[in-house]
Amino acid sequence: MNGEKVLVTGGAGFIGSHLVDALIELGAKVTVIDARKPKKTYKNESAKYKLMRIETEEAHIFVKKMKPAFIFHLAAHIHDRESIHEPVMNAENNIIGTLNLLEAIRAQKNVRFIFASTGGVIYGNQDDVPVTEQAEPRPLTPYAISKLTAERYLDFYRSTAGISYAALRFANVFGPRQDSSAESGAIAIFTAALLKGDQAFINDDGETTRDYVYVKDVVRAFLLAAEADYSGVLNIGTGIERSTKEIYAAVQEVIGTETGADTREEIKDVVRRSALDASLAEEEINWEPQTAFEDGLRETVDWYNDHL
Amino acid sequence: MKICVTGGAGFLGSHLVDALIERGDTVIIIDHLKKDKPRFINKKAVVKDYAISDERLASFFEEEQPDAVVHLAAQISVSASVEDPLKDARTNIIDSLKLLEHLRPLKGVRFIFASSGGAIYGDTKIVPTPELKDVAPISPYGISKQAFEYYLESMHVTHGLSYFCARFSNLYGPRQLVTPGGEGALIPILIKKIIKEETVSIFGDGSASRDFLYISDAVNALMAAVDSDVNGTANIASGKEVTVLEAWEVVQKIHGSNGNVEYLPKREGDIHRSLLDSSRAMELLNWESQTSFEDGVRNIYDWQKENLSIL
Repeated sequence: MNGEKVLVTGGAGFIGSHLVDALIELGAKVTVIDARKPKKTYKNESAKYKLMRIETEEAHIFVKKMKPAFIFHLAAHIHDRESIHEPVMNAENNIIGTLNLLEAIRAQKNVRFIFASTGGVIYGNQDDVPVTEQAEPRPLTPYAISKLTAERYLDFYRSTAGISYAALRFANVFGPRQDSSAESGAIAIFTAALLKGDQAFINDDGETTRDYVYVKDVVRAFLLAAEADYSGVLNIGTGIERSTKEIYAAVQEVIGTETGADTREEIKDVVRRSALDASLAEEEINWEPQTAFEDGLRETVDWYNDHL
Repeated sequence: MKICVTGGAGFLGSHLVDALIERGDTVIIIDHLKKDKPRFINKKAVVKDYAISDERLASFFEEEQPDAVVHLAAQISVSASVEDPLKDARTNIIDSLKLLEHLRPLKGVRFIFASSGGAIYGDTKIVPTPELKDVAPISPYGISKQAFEYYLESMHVTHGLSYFCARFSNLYGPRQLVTPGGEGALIPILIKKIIKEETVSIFGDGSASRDFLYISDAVNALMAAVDSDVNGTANIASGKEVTVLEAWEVVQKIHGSNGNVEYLPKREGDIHRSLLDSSRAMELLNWESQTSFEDGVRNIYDWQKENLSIL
């Protein structure tokens, strides 16, 4: 990565800002495209920030001129539940935005494209958990459909334009800087509520399971995928299912509080169980999760303690 | 019934509109009516020259309260989608989604979508091909059609949308136009060439096969889908495999004399065999193809002879 021209879309966000820090650390020349400005505390002074939306002509022209050696594409509309009510907006961001970038580099040689995809909702409800990449996709929300469709376009550009890519299907990413006011991100939401003394809510019956992967492990997956030749999809997760109730109890324990949560049974989780088998990522890019859940959780709580 | 047909002035759309009017339905054609190719408009239909993404459709649907919308308007060229995937996605995904959004406030509207078997299945080894789900289409056209199928299923699960998705095989029949490059329109090309005494180019040895479905059979399937309340996706196909050479034999027989053929090297990316299993359509819609290949070809031959000027 040292001295390489690197583009990070969505580099002002939660995962993107951690990735930008790691890339700068490695000596990369990083340009960020994001629809929003980075918060002061996340802004990396060694990176360039361009305020633009990826689905625009402006972004297309910019990327075409830039000719990056690596593109980390994280900019997206990421709210699954909201996408059910705003499918057009979600598709314009996630499908048209991705196509717009791919068209910009179609004629370019030697570019490696790393796409932030999603594991949980692309697979939907499966009998065998943890799921492998062999499972039949069952996307049930516009968000999931947009990510799966973007993956399919990536494969079209691989076969016709020779663009080398990895689509990383992430489990539920958590860690410092995660937005605690969004519709998802149980750890961020619970931590913020308990530290601020706000009422916390557990959706559905609390038995819904997710696979929680720490943001530093995710950043390492991006970097390993960038250096590898593998083209295709890869699960990035721990393979461990944790229920919403368990997550709440774990956050309570780290913070040292007994404050309970109310339940909101009327908010149903479309996907009931989710965990990803990441053996292919181990095989292809030598990635496996390294952070113990408790350690990641402690670092996360410490960060919210300092930043709320 | 009151039925809106997007793309209702095109090849498949105009035949559907004629059949719906024939059986007494009220039909509204929603079609941009661009003059770059001939359009076929039934005079008894109401015509709205709106693009499917037009914001005015929201209030139009609210006023009209259609019972069903048959969505046929699309970017339909595979090669154009390879050339410009963004344009294809804007029409087949974004604009189609906007159309669905305009319909969301309506209660109980039935939505029928014309998808494509061939483009979604690609060169699958499973022949005859059933309704495979876990396939990654090769072309942007296949990807966009499949994406919209996923959206329909999602809208069914999350908003209770009533829908049916017809994965057609290769349609042929009167009013089918020979587009530049001749993509997907083998039968009218063969007929046009033999009538004009031009040489037919066959790529490969002529053993490539397709599942040709006659237009009125396709129309019957769409009407069965409108009338049904089944939600789902089914292949709409003849279930019969016809090779390029067999098709050429039939065309020559109907024309009454032999034409000239040149054999050219096989084109890369051409699908060799395409044959769809349409038994699910029988189960779900009680529909199956009725027209023999020879009868179908005779009908389109007669139409082309009378309409050579627009081809």
